[in-house]
Amino acid sequence: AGLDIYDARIVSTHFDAIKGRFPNSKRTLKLKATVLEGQGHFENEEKILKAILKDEPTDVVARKRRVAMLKSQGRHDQAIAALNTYLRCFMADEEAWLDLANMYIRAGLIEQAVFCLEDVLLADRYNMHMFTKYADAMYTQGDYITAKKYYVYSLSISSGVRNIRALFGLCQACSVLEITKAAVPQTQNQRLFEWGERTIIRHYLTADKTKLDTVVTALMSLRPDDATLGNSSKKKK
Amino acid sequence: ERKREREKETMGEVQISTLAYVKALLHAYKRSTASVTGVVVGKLGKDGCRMEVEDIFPLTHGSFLYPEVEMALSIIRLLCAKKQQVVLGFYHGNEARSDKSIPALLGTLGAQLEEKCGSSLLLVMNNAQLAAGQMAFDGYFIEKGKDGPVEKSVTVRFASGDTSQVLANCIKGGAADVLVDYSDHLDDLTLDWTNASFQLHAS
Repeated sequence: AGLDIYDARIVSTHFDAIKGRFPNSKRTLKLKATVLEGQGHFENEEKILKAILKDEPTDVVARKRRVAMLKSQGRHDQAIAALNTYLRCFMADEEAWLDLANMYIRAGLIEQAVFCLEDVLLADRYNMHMFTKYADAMYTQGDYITAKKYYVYSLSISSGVRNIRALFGLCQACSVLEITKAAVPQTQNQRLFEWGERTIIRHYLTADKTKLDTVVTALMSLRPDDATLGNSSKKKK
Repeated sequence: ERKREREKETMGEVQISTLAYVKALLHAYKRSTASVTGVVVGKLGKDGCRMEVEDIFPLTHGSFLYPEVEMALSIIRLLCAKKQQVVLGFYHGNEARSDKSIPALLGTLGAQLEEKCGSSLLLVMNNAQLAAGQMAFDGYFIEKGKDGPVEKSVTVRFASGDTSQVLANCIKGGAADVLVDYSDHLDDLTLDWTNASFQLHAS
């Protein structure tokens, strides 16, 4: 906690106490490496982590700390490589897959991020937020058909919980598919868009009516020409 | 470094209001363990001043993908139209203190904005300059190049006033705690991500 807010007094007081009580513990050594990272002494931190991993190559904490160290230094490519190496051995680590996905997103490598998110979904099959994130990644890649499917799936497992990101994503994906005339039945896009729009409006009516006008106007701007929507072109109040 | 300095001489300059500057840094202060991204709005300038940044809309903390940003931009454009403002570009602060790099997706978004609107600004947080009491943002104009987005350095200046003191007062006054970004709003629709009631603490 002291390291998170970097309070040097808290860090040194508590670390000295731990070191005094457990001088030969590997956990103390890993904590020392983390303290050195907080102080910006990355070379010394790397020496400690290398020594731990030489002694115990399967030490998960030391491996992950090394990835964190590389991220702190801004060595993003090497951090990605190190996390990939870690996941080859520990492929059930959902948290690591999600971290790697976020690193790939930062690097603009969405295809690789999608691969990682698929492993997260395998481990966490009922997490609507992860399915929405996967749909967002598909949308970013330009695969709007798959994005729409996963937004719909995310909403179907929401069980009545507000899932506003998926609702907006669904409207956006349907809008793009309608405009680009992708190979799906038009009525499906229209119906899904209108259902999404109605549900968003219902949520804003409950939460914050002052935002409603702007949100409705923004959603209206996503609609293609009214002519393509047939009878359902009436504006919502 | 010399190339960036030469670029700056030809690019004109960008001015940033105290309100926009302080709000962007409060966003970074509130989310100090994550990267932060937001939209800068204002007016196109004249007489050597290419842009006047008047306000910001905080968007996300952590990683972001296109759908959230696109929806937020649609809403921001509507809000800007009421105040005769335009979307000028984005601001971004990286997770690590010494990191001044530009995330790939932000470069692409900036290039798309430049294609649509003719110009696109990106303000990237520079913590070393912030610690020295100088302008905390490195400015770039983003353009679409042959092999991807191209960044050209631009000078960013304060429009007026003693911004360091205002920023310090806002932090002491707890202004960061009430600042809401679009991502927070999507988690709780009752939160106002336009921060309409935000006020600077001048003294």
